[in-house]
Amino acid sequence: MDSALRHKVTAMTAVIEISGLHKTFRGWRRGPKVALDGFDMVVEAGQVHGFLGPNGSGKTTTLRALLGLVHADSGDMRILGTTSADYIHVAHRVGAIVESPAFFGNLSGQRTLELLAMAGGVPRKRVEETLVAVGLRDRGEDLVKSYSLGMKQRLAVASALLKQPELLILDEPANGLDPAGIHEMRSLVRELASRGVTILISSHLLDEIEQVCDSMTIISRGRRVTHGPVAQVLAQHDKGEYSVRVADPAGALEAIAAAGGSARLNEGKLVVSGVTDASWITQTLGTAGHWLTELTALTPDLESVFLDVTGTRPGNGLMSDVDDGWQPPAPAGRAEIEIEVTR
Amino acid sequence: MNLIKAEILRFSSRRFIQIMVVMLLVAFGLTIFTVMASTEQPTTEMWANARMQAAETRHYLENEYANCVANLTDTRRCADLDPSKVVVEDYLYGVFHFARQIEALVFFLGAFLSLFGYLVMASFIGSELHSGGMTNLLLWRPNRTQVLGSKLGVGLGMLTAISVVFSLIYIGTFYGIAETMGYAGGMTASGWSHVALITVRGIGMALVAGLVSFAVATVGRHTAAALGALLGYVIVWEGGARLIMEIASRNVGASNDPYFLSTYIAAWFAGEYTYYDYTSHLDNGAMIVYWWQAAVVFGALTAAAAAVAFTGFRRRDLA
Repeated sequence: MDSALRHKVTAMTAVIEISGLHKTFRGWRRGPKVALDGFDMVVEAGQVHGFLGPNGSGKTTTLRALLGLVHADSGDMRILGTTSADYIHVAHRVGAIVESPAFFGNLSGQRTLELLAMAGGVPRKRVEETLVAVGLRDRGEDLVKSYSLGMKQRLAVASALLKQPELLILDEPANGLDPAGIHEMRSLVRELASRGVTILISSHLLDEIEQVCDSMTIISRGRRVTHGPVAQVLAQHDKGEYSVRVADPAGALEAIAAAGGSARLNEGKLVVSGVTDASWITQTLGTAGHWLTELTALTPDLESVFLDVTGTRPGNGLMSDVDDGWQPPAPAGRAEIEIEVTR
Repeated sequence: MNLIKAEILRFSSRRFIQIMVVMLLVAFGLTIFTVMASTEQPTTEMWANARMQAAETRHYLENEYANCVANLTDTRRCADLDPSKVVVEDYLYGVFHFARQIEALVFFLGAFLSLFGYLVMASFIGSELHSGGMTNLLLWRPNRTQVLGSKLGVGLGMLTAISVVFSLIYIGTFYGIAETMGYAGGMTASGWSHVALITVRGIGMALVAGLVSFAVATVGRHTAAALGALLGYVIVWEGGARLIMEIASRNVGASNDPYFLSTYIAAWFAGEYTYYDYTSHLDNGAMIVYWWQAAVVFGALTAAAAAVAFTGFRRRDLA
């Protein structure tokens, strides 16, 4: 498929298209802070799309810009086929929670939703339905100030579901949820996705993203560092590594090196990398007299991919600073892509 | 319409506003209690004493007033000595006299409603912006001008409703006290018109205060911004700047009153406010600020505040 056709297809099926988004916050004391530096993202219709990035990488700014809460300096955004300037016309089709939304403590959860429903012209019966959907049916009449963090998060999700949205944007939806709550959230996301709702999830729970998302985008220092179907992204970062247990790891290491392979010792095991066929390891070590008791393919998980592509893998026992993520080079040839996407 | 209904419910559900209404009632109750504790129904003996004292005063003032009129070219300044203005009821001590005392009580009501309006309107928008409630609402209704306009309109509407109801109860209660425990006589049609006028002015001042605090809290994104602005204005401008202007003034006798909002507040409530600028040769230096001039100043102030608030709110990034 040539480039022009591919972009036309994208324009027809994409629910969210962001291209070359720039945003700089200007502070009086600390000077300008670049939050988004030419960020791109495409979310296809009907998908659950994971949006990942280190703290301060620009995730929430992106979502706020998408929802009209933050004014971008430049770039193109389209949501449900309309430009960001016309977002007002599709807002009723978009449910969203951004960070941990605050609610008035002196109102009940049900009252909070009723006020939102009234403001948005949503039938009141939806309030009861969403309270049931997020597991707050029995606590709906309690004051919000009596809610735990996880219950407030459920209420936030309920507020996003109230409109029966076609597009659901969830910023850290599992924040504060207990394991059962996370499990329920995962089930809810899957159920909504099965009904055709497009879902964009920003989260630091990488395992959850890996389990529920079809595709993803990773952002670092305001730029996209990788994107695509989850399986494809993981496959791209597969280094062909295998963990090998043998009686003499040091001797086996020498045997691999002598055969022209690459290996290292890790916690008493041998890690062989750059291998396309595992039989080469068994053959090489067997020939050298090292008999394998265990051979495991080290397929990359999302956490390792995330840490690698964002450059935030901790080292020397120190935590990386929130602004220490890797900054990829600005993508080339953006102008031509933008024209195709916004057509 | 849905947005307005939701805002009305939000206004009435706010705990701070409920507390402020209770505070309004408490202040009202204290005022009533004080008046009730210091009044009694006038007896025949009290009336007789009052008539005697009034007659003595009239007799004394006849000479004083004649001398004053004979010696001053501006006879308006003799008005306080006019014996025809001596009223018997003024000599009923320890009696709540509605016609004489309701004006001061309504001024107090206006001042309290203004403070109430300032605090309530600042909280109505400030807490929404600070807590993220406004962000939640904008996810539903992204038209910022409409959302802020609805909130302002509902806030001012509710403030008007509360003020009107409260004023009617307030004045009615004092009339009832005068009827049963004091003296309610002497109230003419023009007297009632005057009470109505200053009540309306008090409510008007509450709306001006409410709109200004709403605008300041919107720009400052916090209720405290409006409270800080009020405190800062009173201390820095009404206090400090007034003092510095007086010290720095090279023109002895010049007045800086036109530069302070308190001048226009006084003119608005009283109908006119006189200050003396002796550098002016007009009318012995007496300068009068009329209520309509105060209305122009407050109109310009509220229009500017609203314009800044709406423009800023439309353009800003919301957390």
